[in-house]
Amino acid sequence: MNFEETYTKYFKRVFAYVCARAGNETTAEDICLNIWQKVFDKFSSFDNSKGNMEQWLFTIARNEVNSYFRLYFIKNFFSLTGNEELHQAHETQPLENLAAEEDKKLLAQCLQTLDKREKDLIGLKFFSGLNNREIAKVSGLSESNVGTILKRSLDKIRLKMELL
Amino acid sequence: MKLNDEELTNKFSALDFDPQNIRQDRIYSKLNFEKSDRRYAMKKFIYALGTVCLVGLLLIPILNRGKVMKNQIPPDDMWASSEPAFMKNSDGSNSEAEALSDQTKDALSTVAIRPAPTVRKSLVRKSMASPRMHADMAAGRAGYAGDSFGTATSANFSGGSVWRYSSGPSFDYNSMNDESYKSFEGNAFKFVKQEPLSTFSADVDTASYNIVRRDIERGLNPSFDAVRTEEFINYFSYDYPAPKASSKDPVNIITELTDSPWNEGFKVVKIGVKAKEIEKEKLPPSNLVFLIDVSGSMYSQNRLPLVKKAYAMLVKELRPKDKVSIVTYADGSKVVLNGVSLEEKDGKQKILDAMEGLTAGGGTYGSGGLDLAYKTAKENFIKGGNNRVILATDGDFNLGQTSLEGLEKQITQAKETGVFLSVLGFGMGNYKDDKVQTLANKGNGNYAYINDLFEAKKAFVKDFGSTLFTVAKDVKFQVEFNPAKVQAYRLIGYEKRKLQDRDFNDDTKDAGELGAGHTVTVLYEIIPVGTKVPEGMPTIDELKYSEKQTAKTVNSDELLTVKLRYKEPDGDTSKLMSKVLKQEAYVPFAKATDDTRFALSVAAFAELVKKSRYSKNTDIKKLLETARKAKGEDAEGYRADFIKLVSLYEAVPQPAAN
Repeated sequence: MNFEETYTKYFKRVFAYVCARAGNETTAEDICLNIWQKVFDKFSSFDNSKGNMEQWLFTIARNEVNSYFRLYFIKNFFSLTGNEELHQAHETQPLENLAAEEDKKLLAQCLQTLDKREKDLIGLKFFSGLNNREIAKVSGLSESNVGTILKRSLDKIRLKMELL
Repeated sequence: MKLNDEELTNKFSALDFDPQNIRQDRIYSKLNFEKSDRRYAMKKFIYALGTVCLVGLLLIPILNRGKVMKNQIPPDDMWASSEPAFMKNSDGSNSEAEALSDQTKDALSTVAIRPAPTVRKSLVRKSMASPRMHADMAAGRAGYAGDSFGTATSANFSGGSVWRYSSGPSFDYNSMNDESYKSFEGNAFKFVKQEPLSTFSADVDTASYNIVRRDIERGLNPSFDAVRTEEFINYFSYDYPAPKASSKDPVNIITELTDSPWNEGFKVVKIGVKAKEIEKEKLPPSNLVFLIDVSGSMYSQNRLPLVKKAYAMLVKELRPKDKVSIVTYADGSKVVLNGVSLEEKDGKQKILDAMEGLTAGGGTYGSGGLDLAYKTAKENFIKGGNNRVILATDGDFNLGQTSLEGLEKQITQAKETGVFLSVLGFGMGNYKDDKVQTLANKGNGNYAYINDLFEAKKAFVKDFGSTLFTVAKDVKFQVEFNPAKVQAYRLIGYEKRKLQDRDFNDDTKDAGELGAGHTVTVLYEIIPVGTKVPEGMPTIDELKYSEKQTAKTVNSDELLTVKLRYKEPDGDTSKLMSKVLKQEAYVPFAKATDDTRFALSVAAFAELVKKSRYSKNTDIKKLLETARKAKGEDAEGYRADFIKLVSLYEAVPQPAAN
């Protein structure tokens, strides 16, 4: 598999995961650019024996998201113009499916109420196509722990959705 | 809207964040498909460049600072050549400094007023502003450089002193913590013609050395005022001959005369005193009151828990004929144990259990505790025995009598009961050295600082007899110098122990105590007649009227006479001993005894730490070398510890005295 194939195959999943983490699509786009640049740079060093492509990709994606936010706070701290808010997604797009868009918004809203680790795991679970064992490997948690956290965060989302 | 797991999962998977692949294409177009290696190499290079620039920027002020310092410090090589043992070599390594020194010398010989660079002027002004200097000048203290601070004629030599003193006492240190030390100044050279007598009290305390060692080991800069040279010297035990069994005096005086390690042509006189040793079994029965500070400030690990362990060591050493009481104080004071005799079957266990039960908390009602402890000691008084209060504290009294003067008064009254006092200082950070020392000095006591179990062992096990059994009290020294042989002298240390000359024969004046086996070492640096007084040292004029009188006293080869007065532990009248030092006793420095050379190393180190004006020519490497050679047998390893401490002090960069 060359880089282009990988890109087309996995772009949406990575993007969805980053969206889940970042909370809006513009930030997600910035992060995604970093991720894919890194993937391109390191592509030759990918080792099939250590794990499959998804694991490798999402490990990179995870690290990039984390470092983006770390840097974001540092930049904010040293910023001369004061606190800069994360870009808000105000892009107007021709909406084909209004209902789907509503659902998306609602779900995204609920996702943002979770804490960092829960967001991370939910993102990995539903957008990466990894199974629990692989998630455990990527995130460095134990498999049962991953299951528990996922269950708990789903419960939280459900509760939120009921309220809204 | 109720959702089950499956619906939720479906909802998630139905989400499409990028329905028209707009972002996918956009990101792809932004990706950089250049060879990554080159890009990274460029990045690394830029980072490296940035780091170098930053480091450079940081270094500029540091380097400049060094340069300014070099100009500020006046060169000090106008004293003698490199002969003396601790003196720095002046082998032309610093030509700039030498040139400056020559210039200064010329200026001194031609004009009285020294050309002071602007920097130095400002420093002088600073020192004038310090209230302490004012006090000194007002007192008109006649001493070597002592009265010439800040005056226009002050020579190169005292220029340095101005610089050091203008800093004020322990500035750096006190800004970080709350310990307090009484400030004082080092002794200066005194002229025999003017002051032939030097009088002071004996001192066997050791606390200062431990406090300074603690600071150096922690990488802190010790407070100048924490350094008491005599306590440094007396921390170590020296191998002086004990008084003969037949002798009625409990102490023995020895003297030694050798070259000064600091200055060429100067000599050093060592006076050593050894108290008689008594075997542990033959010591009189003791009535000990452990007075323990259990206030909140004693909570931390190196305080109350250490106190308990230290006392446990002491209890182990006690004999069946001894009695122990425990008194504690915090918000109030209370008697925990009253006169438990060790003859009782489980006496020791009872004491240890009682001590184990103590916990720290509350204020510090020190004066109340002292009163109660003396009262308890009085109740259990053993006639002819050793009645003693052993106080363990950090000195931070905050209830009842808290002022230095008040405590002094209280303790002076309390000692009339015939009860002695040992003070053990614990803790750091808010340690009140001045209060603890006052208590020990005025209350017929001795004083040790304990920061770890080794020191506890030294105080209680190794020095059991000397810490707890006084053989001579109110021990005073008076040294009379022969003006025909000695021009000037300088007493090293004992600044806080100075007495008026007339106090020597006044039995009502309090002085230091000597325990069984204690040694006291006194060092004088003297300028013999015939040695040129170094340039820059203020001298006094020849006396106009009493010249003939002094000429009569010449026919003697005696350098000095040491006189010592002491009282029996329960006596009120003092006895006099004396010893004469003659010129023929002189030995060259290399042939002096190990004890003398070691004591001199210790004294030199103390002055170095104190940044005394006499330490500026001291070469720490030579000092270390001498200490190593003079280590002697050193069975307990205390001297080896000292050598370790000096080499540590040498390795740690010392902030200049600014």
